[in-house]
Amino acid sequence: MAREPLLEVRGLGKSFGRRGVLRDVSFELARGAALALVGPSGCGKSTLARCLAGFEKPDTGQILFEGQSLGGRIHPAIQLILQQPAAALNPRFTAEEIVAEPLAIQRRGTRQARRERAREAMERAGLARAAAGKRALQFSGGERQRLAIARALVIQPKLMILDESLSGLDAGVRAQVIGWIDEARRTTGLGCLVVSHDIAMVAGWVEEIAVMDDGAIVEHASTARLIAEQRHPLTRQLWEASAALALPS
Amino acid sequence: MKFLAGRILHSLFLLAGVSLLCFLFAALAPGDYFAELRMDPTVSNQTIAGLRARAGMDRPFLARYGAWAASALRGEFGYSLAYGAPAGPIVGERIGATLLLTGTATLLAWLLAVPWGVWSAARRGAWLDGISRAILALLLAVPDLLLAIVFLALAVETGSFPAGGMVSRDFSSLGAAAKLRDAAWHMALPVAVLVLGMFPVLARHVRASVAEALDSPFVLSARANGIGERRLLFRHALPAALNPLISLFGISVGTLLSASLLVEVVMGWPGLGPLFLEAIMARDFAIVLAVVMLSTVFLIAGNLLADLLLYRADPRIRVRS
Repeated sequence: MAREPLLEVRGLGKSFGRRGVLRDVSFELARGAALALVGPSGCGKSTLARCLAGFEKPDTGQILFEGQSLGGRIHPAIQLILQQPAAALNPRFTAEEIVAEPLAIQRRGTRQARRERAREAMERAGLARAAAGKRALQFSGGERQRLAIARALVIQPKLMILDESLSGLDAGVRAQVIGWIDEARRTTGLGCLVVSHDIAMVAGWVEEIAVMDDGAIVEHASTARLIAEQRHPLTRQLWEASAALALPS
Repeated sequence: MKFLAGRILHSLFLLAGVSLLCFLFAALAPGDYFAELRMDPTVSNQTIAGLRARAGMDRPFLARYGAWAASALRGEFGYSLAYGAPAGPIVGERIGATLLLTGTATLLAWLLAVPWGVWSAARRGAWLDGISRAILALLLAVPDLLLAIVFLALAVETGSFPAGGMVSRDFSSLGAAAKLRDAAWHMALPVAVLVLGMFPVLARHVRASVAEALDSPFVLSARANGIGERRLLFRHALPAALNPLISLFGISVGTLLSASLLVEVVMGWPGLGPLFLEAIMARDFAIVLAVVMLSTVFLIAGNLLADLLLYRADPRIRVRS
């Protein structure tokens, strides 16, 4: 049975000056599903992520979230996790303040309850409760990324967009974070859009992959079918590059 | 505490270095206080040599510097040949007038610049921001001295403001409220010139700092959570924009003694400006050195204050320390 669509993207287009960055992009994402957008640098995948998060206004097309048009607005149930974890965390805040801030913004619970939820989220992200008073710069790169993911998941969003957010994590931590996101997908129906250049990494996780080139989706299929068929030359190229990079390790 | 002790020690070394260099430059400058006497055919070279010896000018450089440094530590800053008295108290009498002028102007300029800069940054790219930036660029392009001359000409032409001085002649006979009004009336034009000079620099810095903070990824992340503009500004953007502004505030404090010197001369304000200019023209180096050293003390104190405020405001500096 087909799952209820959480996100519908129809004919999205975006230009910066004369340069077309997105061209007629369309896809759907069901509740609890995970879709990866892969492609080389500059193919438009990060711009697409920013349009979905409401940070950029598309020139043409429509984004429907739970059947409602986003109209270029930011929706608090959509969480974008940026590529650079260090820069995305307020350096003046403690870890606990960073994770609790979305709850405070959305006025959820008392201050004490927010602190408790932030500490729980940190623990789930593999960060010690005792680290709650530390500031962002006192954490390692991987820990900062986990802090960013804990911050996004603490408010139980409906859609999570990970813009190269897992690239900087080592394999063990990445598996732990993916496990946490997958649990949220099963329990709360969290939809997940993974933006990455590493097709091999996302292939082990998501159910669908869309390959982007020059602002357009050139191949979109279930992970198993896309990897088996590799119809577009770019899909083959990305797969071979990913496999070559994976071999030495 | 260790941070403070380190900064104070550093400041003392800096002060000693600046004093030595200033004294050296004064010694190397062509001519001295008695130079004009040499032009007078009725004064013999012997008399001039005697006067120079009495003033201690014939002693070796280091001996002169040592004597001057000891005098500076006593607060005298050497002996003014023009006034026939220690330079420190003479300069001290004028500091109040200069600080009243620059302190008021600095406070007003900051009070105007912070809301203006924040407002402009929040609307960056919009046409209102464009107009604001054009106004600031225009103000920045007009030199303080030109403004002072224009304001002075207007004061003389219209008679609505005094063309110099700090108070009216009958000031002592006025009541408290009238005294305050009289002082404000005399201060209005010089303060306006200084504010118009300081304001565009400060407003541009505030705008740039806040705009940079508003574009930072952590502000973007906060926006993704649906943060309101007020909370975004006060909890995220302003604290992030604070560091360069604190440094700028330190410079503002540091230049309290030197910011108005030329404006004071042009607008007839009885502060350090006219005294400093006269001392330079007369080569009365004790006064010149006293003003320069006190300005340096303010500059160092301003930087020290900025360092302490930064230490207090930015947890990252505390973590590194």
